[in-house]
Amino acid sequence: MATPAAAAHAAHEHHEPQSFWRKYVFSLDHKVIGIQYTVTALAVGAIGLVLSWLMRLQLGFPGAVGAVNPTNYYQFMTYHGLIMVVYLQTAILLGGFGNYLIPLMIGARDMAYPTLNMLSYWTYLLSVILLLAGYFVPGGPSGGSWVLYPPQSITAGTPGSGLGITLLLASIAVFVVSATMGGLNYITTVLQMRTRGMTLMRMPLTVWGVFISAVVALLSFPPLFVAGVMLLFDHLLGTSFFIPTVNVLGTVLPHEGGSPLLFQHLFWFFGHPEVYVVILPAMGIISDVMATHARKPIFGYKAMIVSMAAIGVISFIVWAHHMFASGMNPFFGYIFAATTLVVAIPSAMKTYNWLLTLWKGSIRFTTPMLFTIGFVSTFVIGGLTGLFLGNVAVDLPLHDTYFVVGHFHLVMGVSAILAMFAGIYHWFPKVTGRMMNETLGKIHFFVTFLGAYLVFFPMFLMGFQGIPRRYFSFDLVAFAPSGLDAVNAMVTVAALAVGAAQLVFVANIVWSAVRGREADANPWQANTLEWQTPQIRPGHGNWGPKLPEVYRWPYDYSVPGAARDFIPQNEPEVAVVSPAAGPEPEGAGR
Amino acid sequence: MTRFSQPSRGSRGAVAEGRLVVLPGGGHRDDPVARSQIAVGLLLAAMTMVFAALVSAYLVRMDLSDWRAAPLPPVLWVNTALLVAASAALEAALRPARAGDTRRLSTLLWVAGLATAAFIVGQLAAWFQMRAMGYGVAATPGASFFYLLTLVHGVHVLGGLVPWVRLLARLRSGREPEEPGGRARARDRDGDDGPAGVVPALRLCAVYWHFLLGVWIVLYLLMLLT
Repeated sequence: MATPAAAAHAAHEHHEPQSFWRKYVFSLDHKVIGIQYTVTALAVGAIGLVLSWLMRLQLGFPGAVGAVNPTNYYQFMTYHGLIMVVYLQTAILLGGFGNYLIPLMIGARDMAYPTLNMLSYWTYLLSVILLLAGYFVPGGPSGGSWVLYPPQSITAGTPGSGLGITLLLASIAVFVVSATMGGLNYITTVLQMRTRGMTLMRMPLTVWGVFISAVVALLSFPPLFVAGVMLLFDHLLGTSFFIPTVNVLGTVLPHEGGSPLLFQHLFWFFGHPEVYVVILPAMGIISDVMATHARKPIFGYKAMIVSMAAIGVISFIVWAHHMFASGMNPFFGYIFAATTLVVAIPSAMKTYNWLLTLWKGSIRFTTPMLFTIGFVSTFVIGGLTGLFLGNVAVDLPLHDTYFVVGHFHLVMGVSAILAMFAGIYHWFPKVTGRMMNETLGKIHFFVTFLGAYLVFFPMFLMGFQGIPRRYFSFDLVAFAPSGLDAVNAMVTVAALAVGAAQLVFVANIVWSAVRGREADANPWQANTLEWQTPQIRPGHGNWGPKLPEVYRWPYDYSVPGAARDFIPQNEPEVAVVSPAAGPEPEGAGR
Repeated sequence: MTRFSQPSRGSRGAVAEGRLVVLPGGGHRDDPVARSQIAVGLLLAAMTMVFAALVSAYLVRMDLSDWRAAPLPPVLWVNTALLVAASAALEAALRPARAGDTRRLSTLLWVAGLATAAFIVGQLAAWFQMRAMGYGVAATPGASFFYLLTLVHGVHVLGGLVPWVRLLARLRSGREPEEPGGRARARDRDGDDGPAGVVPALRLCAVYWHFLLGVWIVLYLLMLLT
């Protein structure tokens, strides 16, 4: 890579920051910022994972870990939920993948606003520090659950109802500021910085996913910010926005007349779009990785975009389905059940499109492809169980049971994480110039994928039995069936195995980054622009002196008659096998 | 050869002598002005969601049984006039900016900035008046909302002073701002970055002020009428 690298370097020498701090720490380069986001998010995610182990140990083998008690169980639950959904998934899929991939995939040199981009990362880091600071203050972190419902989240008796919840709310508000700065950047970049020939309808679906997700995030996070600030007012200044008259063990609190339901509305107006903020980039990643490794055009490219946009729009009118059990006018319940079930249509479109992309493809069962296929499976199972919960009459008995835990973990927890892994294995060679180890990758996949089913599938059955979620212990639950302990123990063992598999992943990343096989420029023979950079690891400014020009959509795989089975987006002319010499390609006559 | 008569999707193509030739088409020229317009538009959209959430929370809370409004301090009328003046000054500054009348432009910019600063001071005064009238933050739900709404609105007004300062600095130095980080990005694109003079930035500043003026009028009317 010496010659093109040297040329590109010469072209940008004047502008490339030289000092270590400007280059790797306070960097304006979208690639460095993307990696900073990814590493930070994975590090926080590791904490979230350990917290889930501690909870599972208590549930599977009650009392085995003496340090786990009801107080810190609820603190673990709160932090596990918030970390995984917000500080890991949202941050890595938008901040990590979005930052790294958008400019490379659309042929830009960087984001529209690099300084804002850097600020977005450092603000995110501040929110993470505020979050974790909860563990170092008197009273410990909040145990108010990740949904933070008042009055209990700020009332004495709930763990961390003093400084803990204050820090948590501040952290969330700061995170919203960070996400808004990032979202502004992603949307503006996609709209303005595309290279010549890169029309909107030639963008890879990853970019589409991040783009739509950023729009949804930009409009749905502000209500969370408002809810957080109002809750801080109630907590610190004694106002009564959300807190009704409360009698705590004989002491009447100074609040009166507030509406806890109002908080739930504000929270879920954010909370539901949030799950789509996470899943839309995941869907985009899955589509691109799948087309590349199945050597086939994505099936229904336009339908994929339309369905992602539809999911984005519908996400704003379904929030109250989280509140069926909170009580509401039956007519409202009816409306929200209807809108909720409508989400199944675009989701099913996507699923069929993925299956039809796989159909008769020349599938290469690489590690990223395995994670991709795993995603489709968990997304279907998780999504279909969502249809149960979308019906008011079915939701009411199931709402406070393990059925809900199984549902959301599979559909947005496991699915989005599998997409994240697919993305990491797929783009690791781009980032580091080295391949990840395939054997370790496959061990990681099979243990994670099968383990996730062993963990979450029994929860559906537990839910049907009415086993309540959020419980620290089932000793006093009279109706718990006799086999519950054995199932819980099995789930815990599976969860620990899945956790151990993540250590394999970490080891693989570290080992491969240092000692992995050196990657070719385009190891997966992909069409998208990020694989067509002059250097394997793109330098500052990504493209050398001249930006690429785009001539085609990103899914020209196995084009009949073409000499190679892929045609990169920036390739103007295609070498054609002469009809006499070349074999007739399959499906050419369709 | 017939199989190439239809080029691959998303491409404009033509067949020439056994080779598929696809012509480049579409795509975008990066335009710093359009870029800022999009970014400010998105920012205003996000801010609309902030205030929409606040207003709906107000309307919901208002319907609950213990709702008691709070009297509003009269200084708010003065503050409203100040914010109108700031908004009008920015709008009026567009004409001298286009005409290249730097003196008049900077006078109007200073008028707008000082009126805005006076608005903030006035809002703080309103807080003290409310307290003096016996309405602290937690006194009544109406009073709580008064502090909350003025706080969130005021912070956004303060934020507007950042581009205002940058505008003044640019006017003083008489230079175009550099590309962020001094990178070569936009210049490489067909060698045409388009000079982003002071007018587009000023117009966006004015839009931001008009937006916050509009929001303030909505919030003020909401509190006055309920």
